[in-house]
Amino acid sequence: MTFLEDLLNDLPGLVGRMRHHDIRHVTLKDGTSTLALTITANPCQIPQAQPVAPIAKSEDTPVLSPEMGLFRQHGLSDSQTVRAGEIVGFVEAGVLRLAVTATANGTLGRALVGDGSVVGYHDVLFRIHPDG
Amino acid sequence: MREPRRVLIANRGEIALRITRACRLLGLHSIGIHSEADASLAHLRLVDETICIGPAAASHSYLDAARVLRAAELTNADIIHPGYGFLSENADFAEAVEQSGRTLAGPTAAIMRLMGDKISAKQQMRRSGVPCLPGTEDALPTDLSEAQTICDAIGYPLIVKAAGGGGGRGMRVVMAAADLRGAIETAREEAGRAFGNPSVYAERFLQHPRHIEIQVLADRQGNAVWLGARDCSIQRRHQKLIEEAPAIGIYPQAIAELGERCAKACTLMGYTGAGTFEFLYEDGAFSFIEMNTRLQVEHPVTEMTTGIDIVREQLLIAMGQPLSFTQADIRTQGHAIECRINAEDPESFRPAPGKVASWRAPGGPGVRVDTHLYDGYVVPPNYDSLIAKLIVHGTDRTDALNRMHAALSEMQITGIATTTPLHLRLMNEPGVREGSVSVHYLEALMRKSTP
Repeated sequence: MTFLEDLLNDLPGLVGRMRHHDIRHVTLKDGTSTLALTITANPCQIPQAQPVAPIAKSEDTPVLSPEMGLFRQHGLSDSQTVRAGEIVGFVEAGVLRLAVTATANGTLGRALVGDGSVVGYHDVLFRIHPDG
Repeated sequence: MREPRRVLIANRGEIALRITRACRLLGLHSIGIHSEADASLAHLRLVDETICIGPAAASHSYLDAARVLRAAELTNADIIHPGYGFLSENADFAEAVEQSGRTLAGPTAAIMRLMGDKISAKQQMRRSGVPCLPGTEDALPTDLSEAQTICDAIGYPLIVKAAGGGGGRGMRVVMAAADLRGAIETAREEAGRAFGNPSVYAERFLQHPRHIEIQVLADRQGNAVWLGARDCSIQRRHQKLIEEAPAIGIYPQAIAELGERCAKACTLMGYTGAGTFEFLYEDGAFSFIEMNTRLQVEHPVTEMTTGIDIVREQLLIAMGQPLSFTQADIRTQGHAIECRINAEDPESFRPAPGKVASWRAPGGPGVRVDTHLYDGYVVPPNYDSLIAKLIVHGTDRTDALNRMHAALSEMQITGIATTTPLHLRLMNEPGVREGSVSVHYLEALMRKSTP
């Protein structure tokens, strides 16, 4: 794991080198873990990946929990098309019910946590696969 | 009612790992909380459950009582162990924990408030027969000859302090009776100007005190014991660097008498959990400074000399169990020393966060390392710089010093600067070898070596 975590920690450096050498796609394997990086035409707008975030395909945009609390489904089906800003779920944090909104246009993946599950601050709740 | 078995560890770093170990030892369900910057903390791999409670800033994570309480609710925690620092001495937090029907591994909010206020703490100590600095309980009278009589009775040197003040203003050290009137007048004037309140009080000023403290444990059944004394005089800017147990050069009978008084004070006020009574020691006399109503960083030196697992006892007390031993069962053996290894420049003490390229723990008989370090761990810049505590236990003080020197030389932390070189140097300093230094020792030594 450490090898891939190290790479993730140095993601900006790695991406910089990929751009410099005009490499568009990289897949790295270490044991059972895989890190796949695809360089997009424009630098992407997604939030900076956290150092120990689950290793994901870079083209998917994570949707993070806005708070620590209980996750509530919003009746969306898997593979549904969503627009950035659209409500995809809720997190109940004490008396607050906070909206979880899509962070990109695309196809919403299955919720990574069940309805009523305890979620932490900035836990990944969904991934959105971009259109096209 | 089911037995409380779910423990939320409301801290980070080495102490969170220490508490996790005690939970596992007792077969308790452990819940680790962490900030977004701390997802890679070592104890999170050992606990039964983890939850990210907020962003990196401590004010929105470990110091945020509402978030810690919400985490306890979401995870159905019965007991919250606050560790040291953060919320560990926050009476409002303790009260909120009580109101939520949970147990804090520590004293009640009421006791925390009583000990948190210096004046009420001192009054409580006087009532319990714990020695305090001689001084006025109230402001000095405005009549200077009356004030002179009172101060002469306290004795010199003394310090005149602004009642409403702080930060060194309105403060005058008086070395002899003849200097008192002038000092009171200047202090009053300064206090009036700075705080809008000219009243001043006086207490005895100690010039070269040692820092001696007594560890106590008290259960919910009214039993209280003391576990020996620690000497924590090697400090820089009131931050302890090296701690040891027992305190050398003080009659064991005097320590025992002080310990008895501390244990009695616990019973009288209804104290529960682990706690520490801190004293200044000069010319054969102890003077109470404050009580820490929590676990302390330096608790391992007491564990090494008494063989008592203080964190385990804290959890058992929080579970409502009575102490399994009495004062007569407690024996101290040998000598223990702890060096605090901080991620800091050993000369400037500037914090040095960053990635630990490699970590090699020292070992051998009598060597203990309490740390959350591992190869590749990144010390975040957001929190306290303590990254490891190296503790040794020897047959006597010289043996312990030698073991510490060997362990420090063996320990390797690469990638970041640490205070290890300073500790190595200190192990050979005549003052440290001899012992019994005052709280000013280290700063004086540093001044001498950096012209």
